Amino acid sequence: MRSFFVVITITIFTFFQSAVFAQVNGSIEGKVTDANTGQSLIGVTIAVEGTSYGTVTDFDGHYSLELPVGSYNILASYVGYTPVTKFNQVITSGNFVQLSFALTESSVTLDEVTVTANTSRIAAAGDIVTPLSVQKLSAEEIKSNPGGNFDISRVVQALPGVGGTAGSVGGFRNDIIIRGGGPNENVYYLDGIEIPVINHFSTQGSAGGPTGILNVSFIEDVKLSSSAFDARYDNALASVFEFDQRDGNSKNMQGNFRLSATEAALTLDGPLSNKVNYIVSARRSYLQLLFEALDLPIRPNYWDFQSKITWQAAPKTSVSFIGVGAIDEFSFKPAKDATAENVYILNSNPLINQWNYTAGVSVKHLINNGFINLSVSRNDYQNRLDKFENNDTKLEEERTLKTVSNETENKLRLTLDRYVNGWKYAFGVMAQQVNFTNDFYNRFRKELRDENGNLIQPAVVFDFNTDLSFWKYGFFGQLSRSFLADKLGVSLGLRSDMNSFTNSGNKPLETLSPRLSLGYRFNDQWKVNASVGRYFKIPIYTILGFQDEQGNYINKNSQYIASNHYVGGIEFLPKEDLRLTVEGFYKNTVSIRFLC
Amino acid sequence: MTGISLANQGGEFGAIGNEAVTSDGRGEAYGFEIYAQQKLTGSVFAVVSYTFVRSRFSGVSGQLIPSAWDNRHLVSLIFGKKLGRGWELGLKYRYAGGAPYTPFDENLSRQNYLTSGTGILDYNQLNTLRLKGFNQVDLRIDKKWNFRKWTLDLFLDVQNLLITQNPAYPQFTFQRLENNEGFATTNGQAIKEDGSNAIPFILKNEDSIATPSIGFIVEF
Repeated sequence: MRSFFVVITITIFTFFQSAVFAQVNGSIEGKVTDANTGQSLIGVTIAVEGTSYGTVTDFDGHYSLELPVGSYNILASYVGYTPVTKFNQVITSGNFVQLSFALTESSVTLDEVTVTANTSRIAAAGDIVTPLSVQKLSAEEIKSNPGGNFDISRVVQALPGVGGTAGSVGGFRNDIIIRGGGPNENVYYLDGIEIPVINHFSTQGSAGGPTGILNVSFIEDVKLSSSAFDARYDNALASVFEFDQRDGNSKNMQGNFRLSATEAALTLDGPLSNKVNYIVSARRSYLQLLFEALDLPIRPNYWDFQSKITWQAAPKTSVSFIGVGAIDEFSFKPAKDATAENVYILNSNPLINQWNYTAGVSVKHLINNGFINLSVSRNDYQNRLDKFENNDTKLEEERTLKTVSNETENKLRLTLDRYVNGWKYAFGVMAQQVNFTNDFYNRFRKELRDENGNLIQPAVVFDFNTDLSFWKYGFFGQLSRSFLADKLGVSLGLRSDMNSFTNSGNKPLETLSPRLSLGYRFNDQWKVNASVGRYFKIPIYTILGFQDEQGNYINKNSQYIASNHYVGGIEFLPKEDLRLTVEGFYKNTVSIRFLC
Repeated sequence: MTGISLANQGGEFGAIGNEAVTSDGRGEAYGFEIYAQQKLTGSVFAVVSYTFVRSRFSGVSGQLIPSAWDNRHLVSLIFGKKLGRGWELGLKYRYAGGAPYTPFDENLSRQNYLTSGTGILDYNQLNTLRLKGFNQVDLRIDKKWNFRKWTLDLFLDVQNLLITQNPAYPQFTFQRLENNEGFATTNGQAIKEDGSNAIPFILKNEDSIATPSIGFIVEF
């Protein structure tokens, strides 16, 4: 028996050692485009810092490199453009790394470019539209984040200005609190398509939940702006999250499987033809096993799915289909030991059963000096809540809460981005058809009487059934330009949003949302930035759909929530891989207040 | 239900909204952030971030009071090191100043606990109390093996490595009997519907749990 173990040990040892001794390679590939026009850049030098590896992009702007496994910093440089370095790209033999670059044209003369060629403004995360209050996270930074558990919603909590909710900061929930704003003041875009729900068991009307939905295997990078929002995004008061998804592998099929104490996830990607590739994933939680082991009376359980299909329909036209969805089930199982804690958990929480999805198609067509983007998407979120005096027995006469609510949005966005003679501009329109239903019952207070039958407390009950349909629409424009040999960047944006439901919904001047960003670069190291803007958000559907006892939509009077932002900051890049920023912000809001 | 601002809500499970509102709430937030990011050079990367933030909104009286996320001080530090041979170590530290919270309305809570399962807050004292600060250290260790065609990554992720006791909102409940088979009462009789003979009991809800997760990723 003992020799058996020795053999096994030796076998395992040799097995793992073989991996160490052999030279093992992995691959990295991607595309380099002009950040302003979206056109492919041909002949861009791709260099691997500290090695002699390198290549140039081909006629489609693509590059591909084989490298020994390890971590690298990759530099893309091109005459007339500001070079960009992407850090800590982990090359493995299993999955390829997709790494795309968007380079910005620099209007300075060639001589000056040579002088500053090694000062790639990598570490800088901003651009001319959002020069400050912006952070970028790479897929690797998300995957390797300590305590992050591959959960993007959790990882962002370590960024500046981001807090969690009290009571469960860092613990149980991952609400995202940006610069003192509420969790419902953020918006999320996946490849340019809005996804309203990013967490499992998400709070309706808010955003947080215990675990994020997005699969990090899809993510190429994440950009978080906490002010100076691009005018193309509506409804953002505190932040805009832009998640860029990678494409499937265009050469062969690959995948990964992740198993941890709480979940299992499988991701597969590869080519369907030489013009079409896909990436799909499914994940299932095992939280219920963990909770059972801890003898907690709740059994949360979720699934999620994500997919993206990319089709290069024509040389200048690419189409992508994206989908993301989740199923969240929740049940109660009284703990063996009915301690005060366990009874509290059992009877203080509602039963939450939810599902949601977003599916969309986005078409990007390159035109002279720019591109047109059309995206059509639909998202649906169903929230069912049940709560009883005793969540174990679930007696109907002891029901205190019922919600069966559906939020559906069908959206269309059309935008044009161009860069002509140093002017960068974008404009577009958005239309959304909204369906909101809410079958709602809340026994807020039960009627209570004393021994003699005297009323101590009258019953307070909310009971209504909402079925709302309306439209939301908006338009925007954004104009930017650099002056003084690229030292001064100015960007001006304007948008307005309307709707067909609220009383003041069709007054575009009431939601007129201007914003101005300025950035001045003293030299390669120092830059000052400032931004001012006024942003709006329509009240949440649970407020719009609330009815009084007579069935009137009494919140029809409510107005868009307005927030004015004033931000100023200094950026210091002492070395190309070190970034220091100091920013001050002031925001004031006119918001919604619940009546007494 | 209470003159409370929408900007103060959303940190609990279920749904928010579903009430009558007015659009005259005011709020403000201000502060500053200091951030330093050392990208990967050689084998090390690091992030240091400090935020000072005040967040307030107008309550019932129209006066500005601290919002639920008026943490004031937020600190986060991330340190990563590539140790060679496929080993990687990551450490993260976070601090958040104490968040405001609201005490319970003792009478209303007692009267309604048996039906609502929760305490009821005294909205006249909205956000007048503060929790203790939040501290947490997280650890991550990865070991990768690259084979010819596939990669194995074993990871250990520990949230709250130092098992610090972290604050959360207190919870209102009634004292249980010794054997946990029911609620204790002042007079030894069955508990009354209006909780008048119950013994209110506040759960501090301060966890000091480390959450370790071990797992693997196979790339193929």
